[in-house]
Amino acid sequence: MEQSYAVAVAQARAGDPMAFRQLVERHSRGVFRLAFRITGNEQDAEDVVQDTFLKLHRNFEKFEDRSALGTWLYRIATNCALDLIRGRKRHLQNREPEDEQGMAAVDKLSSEAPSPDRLTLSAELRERVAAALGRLSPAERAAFVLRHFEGQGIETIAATLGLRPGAAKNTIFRAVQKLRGELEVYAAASE
Amino acid sequence: MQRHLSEEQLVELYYGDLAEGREATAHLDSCKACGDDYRQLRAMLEMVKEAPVPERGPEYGREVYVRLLPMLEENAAEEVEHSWSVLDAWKNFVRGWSWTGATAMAALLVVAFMAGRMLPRGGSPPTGGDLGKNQAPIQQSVLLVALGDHLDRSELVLLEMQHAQAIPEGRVNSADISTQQQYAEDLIADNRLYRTVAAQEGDASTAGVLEDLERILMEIANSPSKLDEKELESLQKRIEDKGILFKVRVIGSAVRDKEQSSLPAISGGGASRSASGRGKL
Repeated sequence: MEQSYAVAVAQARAGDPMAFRQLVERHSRGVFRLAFRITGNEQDAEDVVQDTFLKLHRNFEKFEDRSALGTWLYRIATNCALDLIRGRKRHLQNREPEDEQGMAAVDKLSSEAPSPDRLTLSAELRERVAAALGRLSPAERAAFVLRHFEGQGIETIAATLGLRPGAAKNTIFRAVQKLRGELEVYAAASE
Repeated sequence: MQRHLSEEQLVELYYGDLAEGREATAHLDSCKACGDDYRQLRAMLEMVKEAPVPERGPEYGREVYVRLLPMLEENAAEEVEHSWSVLDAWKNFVRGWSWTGATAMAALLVVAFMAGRMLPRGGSPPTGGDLGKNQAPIQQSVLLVALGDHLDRSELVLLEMQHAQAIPEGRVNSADISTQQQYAEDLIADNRLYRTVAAQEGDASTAGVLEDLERILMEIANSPSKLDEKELESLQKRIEDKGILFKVRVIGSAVRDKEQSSLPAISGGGASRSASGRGKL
């Protein structure tokens, strides 16, 4: 850890607004990327960024120097994102209309048979990846994002999600299995 | 490793978590079924990795901080309510979280300065950009923090105005700028105080920018809360023509540099404070 960064963390924790500002400026983009990958929605990700730094501000005194601030911040962000998508999911379950086949709109995308020429469209692949990620449970999605995109270890992910390491590992595995079931055919076609 | 690898082992291998990684890799070279299985898994996971994330520019962190400011004020106000006394309020203010207090205290400093009691002027007039040069360090820092805060808020209002769009409403397109107007109204009185101080200090460039800013803020505050497309474009053009957003950013940047260099006087941690400067993070 750079010395100047460690000093900024200590000063922000002691209530220095300029140091806090430095931390916000340094970590905002990373928190946004994480939040977007978990929520899959730009506006939700913006809300998560805001909530994350507010929670950091309110609870900074609880931060222990022996852990890395980035890890702690990402833990806050992950839980803010989980709270948001769980709340959103409950809301959507009450509202989402189903079509004549009884399928929710979000499920239609992956059930339509793809033709090989359409698979070359990267935009469509992106949509399918987003849809497949969207069908993971909130915990699966968060665990997968932390492992796959953020490169966090099992112990850290377990601590972030309040799981035992074995359960965290299993959650990641379930997420990969589900994604594989939906996306492997496209990955093979695009190779 | 003779047995085929399970799906779970393949996933662990991909993430480097498999204890027997070397043996597993050797097995993949010799077993076509497992090798194919692993390649498919890897292709799928690599494809997922390419899922794009909307870009956020280098100024994003600053924009986030500006958006957070009003909520930090609320936090501070709650804290102050819990431990309210003149001494505590002052301590909180110097510690810096009392952003609501910051503007009020800056106003007090300005008034004191104007009365010639608190912020005495030096023998010769300061040069451009030297707002507060001869002030006592803490007073100078307090004023700079409050001015920096004011410029950040102003920038946010200008940015929101610049990005405002007229949307269909009935038969016409219109833009509701009532929120920006409220912000602009709140900023005008403070702006006037800072402009007066800058002029008194002989800092003509800062005073000039604050004067332009004040005109724009008044124009925003006094416009109808709903603008049609032409009115909105016209207002946006006037903001753009004056280059006020750019000027506010330049002055804001200078103020922040001064904040950094004056902070050791507050924290008493000179060397470490300067080492935590923005550019070094």
